[in-house]
Amino acid sequence: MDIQLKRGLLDVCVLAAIKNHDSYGYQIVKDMKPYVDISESTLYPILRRLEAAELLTVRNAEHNGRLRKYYRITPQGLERIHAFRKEWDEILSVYQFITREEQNHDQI
Amino acid sequence: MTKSEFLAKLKSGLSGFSQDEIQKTLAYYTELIDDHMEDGATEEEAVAAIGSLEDLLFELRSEKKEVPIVKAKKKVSVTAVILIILGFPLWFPLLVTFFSVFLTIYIVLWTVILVLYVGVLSCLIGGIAGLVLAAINFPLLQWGEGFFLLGCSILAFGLTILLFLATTWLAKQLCRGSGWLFRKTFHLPKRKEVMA
Repeated sequence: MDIQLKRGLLDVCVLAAIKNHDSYGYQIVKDMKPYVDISESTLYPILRRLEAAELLTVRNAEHNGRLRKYYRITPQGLERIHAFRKEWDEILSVYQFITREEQNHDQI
Repeated sequence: MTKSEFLAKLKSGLSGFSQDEIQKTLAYYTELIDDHMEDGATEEEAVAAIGSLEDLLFELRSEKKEVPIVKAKKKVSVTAVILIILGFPLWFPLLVTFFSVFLTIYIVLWTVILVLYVGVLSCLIGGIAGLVLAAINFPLLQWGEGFFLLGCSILAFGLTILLFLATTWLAKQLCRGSGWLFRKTFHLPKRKEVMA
């Protein structure tokens, strides 16, 4: 997959993973793995990027005597998911157009 | 590789990064390895699950060069809010004064228009009165006087028309001006032309 496209998709995937409840690195990867090819190392830069863009916030919470970072989505983050869905509708219609062209071509 | 070995290598690989960033990155991977182990993995397995250290460092370095995605809309900072609240005794009277002065100027402008319309009306009345007077008293007046009165009346009618047109134009301009100012103040889009 195109690297820029994948990066954009992963950003929204991570936001979607924390959309309904706060989550932490390990859990986010675990939740995403059945759907997306992602490793813990790929996740970290994404989280940093999203935090810098204020699409999510980070807080430390104690867990079994150690600190764990929990990520929470911001209203801007939710807005980003919303914008992505709208964008995707457009992409889908373009896709339909492309495949329709191909089908026509095949028929000739 | 053990956890501490991995973290030591990561730390040395991050030279060139800010101290804060190194701390954050180390904390993230420590947490991740701990979470893996808590989920039942051995230390070796947990470190292996993170993936290749070279890839990870490569990714972090390439990410560092990039500009972060566009920041979301800027929020009003706490300092600004405090300043606004503390400055209330200063800015509120100024605002009221500014508003009053503005309102006064606006009212005066419309008063001018009103006065001009009154002028139009008086010209019209004057014209009519002159005409009526001339008609009633025509037999009593001398030729010169009669025609003078008639001329004055016609002049008054002419003035009425000219003044009326000029005043209406002025009033329209003022309306447009206020509309523009209103839209500017409230950031409204320009009124759309109604389709025929």
